[in-house]
Amino acid sequence: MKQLMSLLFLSILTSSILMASELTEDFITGNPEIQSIHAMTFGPESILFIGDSEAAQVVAVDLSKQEKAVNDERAITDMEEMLGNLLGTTSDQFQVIDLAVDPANENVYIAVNHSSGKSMLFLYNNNTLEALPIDEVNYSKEALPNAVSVEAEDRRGNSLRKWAISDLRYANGTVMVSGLSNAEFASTFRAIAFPFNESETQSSLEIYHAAHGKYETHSPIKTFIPLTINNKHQILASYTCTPLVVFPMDDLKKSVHTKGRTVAELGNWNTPLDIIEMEKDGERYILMANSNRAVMKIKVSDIENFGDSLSEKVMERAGTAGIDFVNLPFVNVQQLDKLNESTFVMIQRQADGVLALKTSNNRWL
Amino acid sequence: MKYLTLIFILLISFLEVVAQQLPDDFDYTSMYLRIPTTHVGSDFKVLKGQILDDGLRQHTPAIIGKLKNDSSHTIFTPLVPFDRDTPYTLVFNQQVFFFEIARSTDDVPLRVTGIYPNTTQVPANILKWYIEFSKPVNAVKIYDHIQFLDQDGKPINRSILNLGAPLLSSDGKLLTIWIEPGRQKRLLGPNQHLGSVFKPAHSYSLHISNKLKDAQGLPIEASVTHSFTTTDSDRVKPSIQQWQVSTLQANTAQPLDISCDEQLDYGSLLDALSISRDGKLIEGQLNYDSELNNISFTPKEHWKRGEYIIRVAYQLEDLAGNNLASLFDKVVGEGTSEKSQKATQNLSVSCD
Repeated sequence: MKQLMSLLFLSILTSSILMASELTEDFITGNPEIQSIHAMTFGPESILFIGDSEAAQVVAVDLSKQEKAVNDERAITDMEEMLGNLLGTTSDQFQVIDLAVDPANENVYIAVNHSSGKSMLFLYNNNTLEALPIDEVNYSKEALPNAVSVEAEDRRGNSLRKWAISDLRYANGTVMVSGLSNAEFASTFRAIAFPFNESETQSSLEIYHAAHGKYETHSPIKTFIPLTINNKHQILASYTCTPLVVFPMDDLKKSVHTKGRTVAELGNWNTPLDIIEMEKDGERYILMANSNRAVMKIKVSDIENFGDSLSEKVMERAGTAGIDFVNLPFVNVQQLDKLNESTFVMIQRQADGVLALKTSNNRWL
Repeated sequence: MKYLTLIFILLISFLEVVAQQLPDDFDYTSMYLRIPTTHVGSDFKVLKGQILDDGLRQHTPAIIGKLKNDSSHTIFTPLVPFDRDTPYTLVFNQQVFFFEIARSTDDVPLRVTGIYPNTTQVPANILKWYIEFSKPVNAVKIYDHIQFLDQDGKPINRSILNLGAPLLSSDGKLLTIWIEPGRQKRLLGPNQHLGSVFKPAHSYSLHISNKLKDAQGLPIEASVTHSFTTTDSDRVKPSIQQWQVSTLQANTAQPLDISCDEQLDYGSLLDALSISRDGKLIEGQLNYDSELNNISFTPKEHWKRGEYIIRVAYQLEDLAGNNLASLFDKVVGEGTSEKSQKATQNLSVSCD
């Protein structure tokens, strides 16, 4: 029996090693020629996915060799002062563009864009932000086609068209990318199988939503999260024009036109910025950072039980409608990510104007 | 007290003697700093600001950069270029120097070279604007410096969609601005509570602040204000069937002129329209005159006898975001899911 258990353990270990090598076996070491970082997220095994709008690509970078960061505390009191000193410039010359936590070791990574057009990746380590090279890494990448027609792809010298990545996430062997074009106001949502494989086509999905059952429109997705809702893989997405919608991942078929089920309108003057999922006492919650509202807490079970789409005008609270949410006492949170099962990390513009990195825990759930 | 003041002045003077401006044999630009020795100690660092105080120098984080040697120099390359007209402190081999990269006299200030649509009248439900700059603009927090003003010159809140990473062309010169879609779309919460951003028959202006800087951190020449008035909202799809197409003359490269039924969105037009013959794409220059609603296509080579096809992708939009297949916010159930409507549309033109 003992031998059998040992064999079983060895077989599990071997298969996990094989699986690990499967994800990164096609990775190469060199320069992925990242021209910009517009969004980033972690997948399994410390693989960081970087959305590079400028080079129209998604780059998977293997950060598994990065050691666990050591800091006295999980906080930076003034990120702009720190970055200003490290970059030798003023805060109007750079912008913190995204935050991502490696779930394997809780390392906190931050992407920063500089006015010169340079994008940088930092690791919060040794109580400072350490710049990591992105021109010599172990990586794999996938191009994102950017044209409405083959003819347009063929036309040379056209530098006007732009497709800016607004968010990307990984789930179930798929990298999902949302973005905004300067040409059409559509919500093309792309799904790319990972590990990247050139022979495999990307799928894209057009999502639209209905406003009180009368008008339906396309709109770019600002941020989203893959989520299990009613035991199905679904996407919870927030549009640039406020509605929060749900649509099934099964709909990710090429050129499908699908209507997202609108579960909430989150109020005027507001754009949701970042979404994470946390759990406490067996209850799952969505935490959402917003441009003009506090961080919102929504029960996943409320989304599951919200059977209908917002089909007609319902009772409103301050311009909001749909599922219930609770405001948490965190305002002007610009970036949000899950640090571990009980803690989340955020970048907040405080009332005194200072941009701070902070953590909080699930006592708020 | 007098003694204390004297000691302070002497201390400052002493520090100024110790900390010198960089000698002439140091070479520096915004991209690098070359030090005329290959031996720099572990105390090497470059700091932001002119830091006189030794203790403060110890505690200020060093600017991130790469150090390398050539045969006679040590070269420091900062992670991002040094700012112009900004003091820096160099510490190495227990010496302290100050330096500053002066603004070049060749630096021509940033200018706005175009705002599109450049017409004086636009539909109240306009969705997009483009601002063209003379050189790459600083995209960082760019929305802090651009706003729409009402006829009293007051800023219109929540009029521009603030994207974390703005839509800027690859050359860094053309910025796309989306009008807040939640307010432009009928029956969405922001639209119901705040109304659309612009109302018909009103005067507005697009204002670009003089605080905007170029990609090198140098300020714009002056603020810019573009005034316009609004007409009724456009809730009609563009129709290529109503376009008037000029005739083609064989063996000439005379432009093909297309007179459109309404103002089109420049950004979507460039990608959505192409001209082909026998399935082969014709190369040439496409121009759009928004004042005249006229597309002009000048072929690279002469036209030949036969039939040319003008292909227009259904995604071609007018100023209000209506495309060939559907309105920006269409009535639910209107048949846009039909594949036939989401197909490329063609016009043919013969060349004699």
